[in-house]
Amino acid sequence: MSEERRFLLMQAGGQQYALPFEQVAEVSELRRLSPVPRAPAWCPGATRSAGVVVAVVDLACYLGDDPEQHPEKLVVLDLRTGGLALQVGPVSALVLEGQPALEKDGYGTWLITPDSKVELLDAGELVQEISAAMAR
Amino acid sequence: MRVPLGYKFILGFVGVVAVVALAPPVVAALGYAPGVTHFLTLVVAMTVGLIMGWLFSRKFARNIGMLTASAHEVSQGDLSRDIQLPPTRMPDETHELTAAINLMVQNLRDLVGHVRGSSLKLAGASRELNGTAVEISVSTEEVARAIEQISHGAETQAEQVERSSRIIKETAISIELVASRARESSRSARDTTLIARRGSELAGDALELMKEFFLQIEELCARFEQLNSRLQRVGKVADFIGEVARQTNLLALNASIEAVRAGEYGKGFAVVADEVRKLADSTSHSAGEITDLISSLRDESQKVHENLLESSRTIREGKKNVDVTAGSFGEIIASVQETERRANSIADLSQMQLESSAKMVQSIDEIARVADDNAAATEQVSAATEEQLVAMQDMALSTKELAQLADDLEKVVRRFTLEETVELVETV
Repeated sequence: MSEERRFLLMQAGGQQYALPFEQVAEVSELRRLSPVPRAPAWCPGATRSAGVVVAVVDLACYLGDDPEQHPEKLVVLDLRTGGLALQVGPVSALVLEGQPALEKDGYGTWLITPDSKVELLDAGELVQEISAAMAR
Repeated sequence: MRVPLGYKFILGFVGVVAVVALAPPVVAALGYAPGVTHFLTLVVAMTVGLIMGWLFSRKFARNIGMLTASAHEVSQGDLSRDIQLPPTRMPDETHELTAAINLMVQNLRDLVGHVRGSSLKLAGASRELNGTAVEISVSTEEVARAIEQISHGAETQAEQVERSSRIIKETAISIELVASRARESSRSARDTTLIARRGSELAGDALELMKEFFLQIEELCARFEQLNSRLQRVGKVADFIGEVARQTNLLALNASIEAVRAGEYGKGFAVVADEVRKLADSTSHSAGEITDLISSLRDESQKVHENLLESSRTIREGKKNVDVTAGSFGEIIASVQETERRANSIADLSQMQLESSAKMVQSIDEIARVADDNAAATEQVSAATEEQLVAMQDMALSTKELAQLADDLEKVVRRFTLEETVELVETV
């Protein structure tokens, strides 16, 4: 029996993004957010997940696109990488048999799926970048 | 004392005889020789005889001469003088002849004077008659022309009357056609009335059917309302199922995440979570399809409901229209009955006109006959006038000749010289 890899596909600002299941702590419905003072525009507020306060980031807005018009889900990243949740559109699970096909270029890493090519995010890098951005 | 002329001759002869008888003794007394005495006796007897004869015949010859001269003058036309014999104590036949000739001359004078006056009057009357005849002739010509014009007018009148008769006959035909059309219109109006009544009945039936159909539509609308309500309940159930599936999906997704995070021990659970997630996906998809189907059904039923409502409104409007149509049929029936009545009236009036036109045709024919008679009579009058004109012209000519004769007579009479002045009356 071959190895299976599971990815979470997210839609944000008309683009598809993928996150490995290992880097996701929870997927939940949108909930009421607590506003964060002096937070950037792509950070609409903060919420609780498994007893931990996590900052919520509008992924599309953060990546330079227009804010998500119809946000549906909150994707809480692994709390070990940092307390961060992504506000995205529809999500789905992707199960790939064997070693996934990846491409890297100057813009990032791309996961090749049977249907399309999506940008593969890394939760650790994303948390670091966002933390740095918030610190600025 | 009147002594007849014969007596006077006898007395003269007796005197001559007495002289002859008495002369010889007287001569013998003279004493001459017998021869001389005889001769002297003869001479004395002849001388005495001649003297006595001359004495006796002188007056007689003078009277005869005067009578002859007077007769000659009368023969020359001189009637101006009477014969005046010398007075004598012993008038004879010459005096009587003179008186008779004077009487004759007087009678001739009267006759000539009368003839002259009459001839003058006759000439004047003839000229007057001639003028009158000419005037009558002129008038007769004018009358003839007038009668000719009247005759022409009568012919024209006869033609016009004939034309009028023809036109009236044509008009009578037109009136008959109008009457026929009016009767046809009446029949058509009657048929239309029957058809309109049938249409009114059908409209009433249609109205009843529409009412029934309207009730059925209302009932159908109510059922559609119930169906929509149930579909909404089904949709709510489907929404609930979809929500459950979505929550299940989310739970399955989180379970998969937890299974992955559990590592090697969570692989079986991950498989189960995937299957649950797939089942939830499928359920969600089916619930979505149900929701879509219900939405589609709801939309369709809504459209059907709206269509039914629209149909109901349309039927309601149609019901009004049918009501109006039924009313219109009633008005049509009334109007057509009025039309039928008027058409019948037109037919009756046309029949009356037809009868009147027939009488008019008869009258026109009578007028035409009278006009023909008038034309013929005018022709006869014209011919008579022509004859009268000719007669008047002849009369004018005759009067002219009569005047000429009167003039000639007057000229002839003028040869006679009258002692008396005859009063002539010129009538010119």
